[in-house]
Amino acid sequence: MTLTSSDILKRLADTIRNDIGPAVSDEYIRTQAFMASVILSKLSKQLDLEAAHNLAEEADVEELKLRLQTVLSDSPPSVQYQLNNFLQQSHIMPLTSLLTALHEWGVNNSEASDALGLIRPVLRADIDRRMEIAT
Amino acid sequence: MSKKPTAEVSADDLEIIISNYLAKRLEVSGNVSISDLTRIAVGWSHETWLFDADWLNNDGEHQRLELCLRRDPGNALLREASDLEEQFKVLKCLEKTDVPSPKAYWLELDSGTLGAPALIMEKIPGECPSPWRKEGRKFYTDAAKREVLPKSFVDALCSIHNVDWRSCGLDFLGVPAMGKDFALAEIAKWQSLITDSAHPGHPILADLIGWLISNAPSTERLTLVHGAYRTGNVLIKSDKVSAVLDWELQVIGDPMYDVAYMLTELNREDTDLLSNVVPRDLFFRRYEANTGIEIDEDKCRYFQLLYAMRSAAFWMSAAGLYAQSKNTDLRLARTEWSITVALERAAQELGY
Repeated sequence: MTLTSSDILKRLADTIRNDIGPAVSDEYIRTQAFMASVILSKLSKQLDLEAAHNLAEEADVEELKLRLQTVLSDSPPSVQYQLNNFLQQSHIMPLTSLLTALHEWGVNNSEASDALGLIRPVLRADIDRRMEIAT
Repeated sequence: MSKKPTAEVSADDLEIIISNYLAKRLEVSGNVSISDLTRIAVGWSHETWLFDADWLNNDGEHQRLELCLRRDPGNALLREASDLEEQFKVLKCLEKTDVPSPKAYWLELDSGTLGAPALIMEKIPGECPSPWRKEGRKFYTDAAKREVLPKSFVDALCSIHNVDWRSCGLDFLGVPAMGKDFALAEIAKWQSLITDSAHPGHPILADLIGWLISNAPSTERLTLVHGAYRTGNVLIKSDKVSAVLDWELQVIGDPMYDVAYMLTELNREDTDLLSNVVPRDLFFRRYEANTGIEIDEDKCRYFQLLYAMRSAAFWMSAAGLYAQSKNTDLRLARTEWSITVALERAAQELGY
């Protein structure tokens, strides 16, 4: 039986938390051991979930691309430029620049507001996935 | 408490350095004895050491000072946002006011003198229970029942907001124009920290910043603002605030910035008591009566979103320090996931 990388990290985290950390007398070093355990646990969880999270992100992004192209067809060049950049990607990070451009255009504008309405559920889904690891 | 050596100096070496330094500063011909030198293992910014200094003056009389040393190790969180020189100047200005704060004695910016840039100030008696620990929260819950600390805690905040900041020289902090300048300057400050962190961030942060810029409130009354007024950042003795600490984020700005920090759920746990110790109605009544400032809850809600941005910026800066190998403290590495928590909160506050 072979352990997965995620399993190994989880076991390392448990050993540091339960065996190594408590044996350290210096408070600072003991805190560092505890933090190492926390970080290894999160990395383990991240490895476990990474593939599923990436698939979900890509699916969300593909659907959003189609909808944004319709909503933002008459947007100014600054927004069009960032939209085009986003359309060439398969992850959410380019939405950072697009959101900045939308806010600069003005969210009182109905197209910008509609675009925000489409983007925010995708961001919500993404942060929910990240929270599975963070908490 | 930890005796862990810093990157630059061990506790034993530091004891000798301080002794020699004080002998010179106090113009003592004999030895200055340093005792109980302890590094406080809290805080992520400057190193903090507590100690007592004893010596005989030139008439042979015993003298004692109880002191606190803050050192800049050169790789601390927020060191660009709050340098020791500014902290020293603020404490000097506050000596002329009613704000309970430690007396500042000496500032040494030359690393050769105390091993790193440092300031020495008065060690004020009192305790500082952590509101993030169970025993700390019990301390505050019990104190709330005795009804003395809640009033003192509010009064100390009022004393900050009532400071005549211009006459005591605090205008060196920079004075925003009336209107949106204060909010916009705070956004710019934290944006700069985010940029310096070299962290990729997340689109929610762009959405949040865009919203903050579009909805910046107008400030019509400027006060001294502490910037992080909560339990855990004040010393308490006999149920009264003996000193307000952590003068690292202070600005001249909108008093609602501090009030929002009092009201936020982020600064309390398992309780309705503001900052774990003050009943909400007592706070509103006493704060408004003592300052003459009406609490604007809408503005406070705005500033709570600004705090979400600030939290994200802190954590990005911390994670960046670790990622860039500037600081090896694993607590900083851990903050990578705290960014997610801050942004999730921001998304909720933005309504999604």
